[in-house]
Amino acid sequence: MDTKDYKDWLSSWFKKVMAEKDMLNRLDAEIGDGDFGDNIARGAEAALQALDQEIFDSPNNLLQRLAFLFMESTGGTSGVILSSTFLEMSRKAVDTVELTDILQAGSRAIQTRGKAALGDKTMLDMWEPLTEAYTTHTLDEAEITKQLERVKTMQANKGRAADYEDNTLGKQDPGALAVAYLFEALLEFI
Amino acid sequence: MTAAIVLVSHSDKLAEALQEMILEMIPTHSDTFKMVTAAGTNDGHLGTTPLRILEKLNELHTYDDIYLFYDMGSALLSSEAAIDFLDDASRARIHIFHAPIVEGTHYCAVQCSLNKDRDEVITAMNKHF
Repeated sequence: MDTKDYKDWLSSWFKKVMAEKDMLNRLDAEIGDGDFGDNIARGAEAALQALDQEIFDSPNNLLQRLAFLFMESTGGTSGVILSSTFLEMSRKAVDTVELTDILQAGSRAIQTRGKAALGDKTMLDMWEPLTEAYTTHTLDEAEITKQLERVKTMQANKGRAADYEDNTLGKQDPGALAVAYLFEALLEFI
Repeated sequence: MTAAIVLVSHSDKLAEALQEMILEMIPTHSDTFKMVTAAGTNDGHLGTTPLRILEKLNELHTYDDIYLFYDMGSALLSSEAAIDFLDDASRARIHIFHAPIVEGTHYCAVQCSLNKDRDEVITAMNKHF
C-alpha cells in the first residue's frame, strides 16, 4: 500500500466511525459510560481534516501524524490506545511496506499500551484475528462478521466494561465494532 | 545530576495541593529537585491527557532524571502514551514509579534532597514500596 492508499483507507474508516457515532455511544452506554462514539469521532474528525488538507510523503509520516492527532483530540482510554497503535504502525512503516507487518505492530501496541490479552473482549480480539485473516488472504465480510459474533460472546475483562462482568455477555463491544469498520474499509484495497 | 518529579493527576487541585504539601515538608532542600504537575484536561475537567503530560516532559528536557508519579490507572496509560512520543534518549531519562502518589512522591523527594543519584533513588523506592 502506498501513501495514497493509506489516506483513502483511513479516511474511509474515519468517515464511518463518525457516521456511526451514536450507535457506538449506545453500545458503550450498555457496558460503560456511553462516550466511546464521541471520543473516537473527535479523533476521527481531526484526522480526516489532516488527511484532507496536509501532504504526506510516506505512510510513516501519515501514520505518525494520525498518532499525534488522536493523542491530542480523542478522549477516553481507547483513543489513547489507538494513538499508540498508529505510532507503532508508523515506526514499523519506516522499515517495511508490508501491511501485514505493520498491522501486527499495531496489534502489539494494543497489547502493550492497553495491557490487553486475547479474550478480554477488547479491540485486540478483532485486530489480531483480522490481521491474521489479511495475512492468509482470508479477510472478507463473512470473516469480519464471524469475529464480531465471537467477540459478542465474551465477557469483558478489561476497561470499564469489566465492571459489568457477565452483563457484558452477548453485548457488542464498541471498540471491537470500530476495528471491524477499519478492516471493512481495508477490503477495498485487497 | 538534576532531578525533576512529575505529578500526573486527574485533578489539578489535587496535584497542586500535593506539590505544595511536599515542598513545604522539605523546605531547605527543595532546590535539589524541580516538581511539576500535569493534571486535568484541556477543557478544565477531571482527567489526564497525554498531550499535556508530553508538553511538561518536553519542558523538562534539560533535567537528567525525571521521576513520574500518577494517581490512578488511566493516568499511567496517558503517561506511557506521552512518553512513547519522545525519542529514545529522552525516554531513558524518565522513570515511572507505581508507589502511592502521596507517600511515594514524598519519599522520592526526600531521596532527591539527599542528592541521591538515579540508581540510588530507584533502589530506595523499590525497597520502601
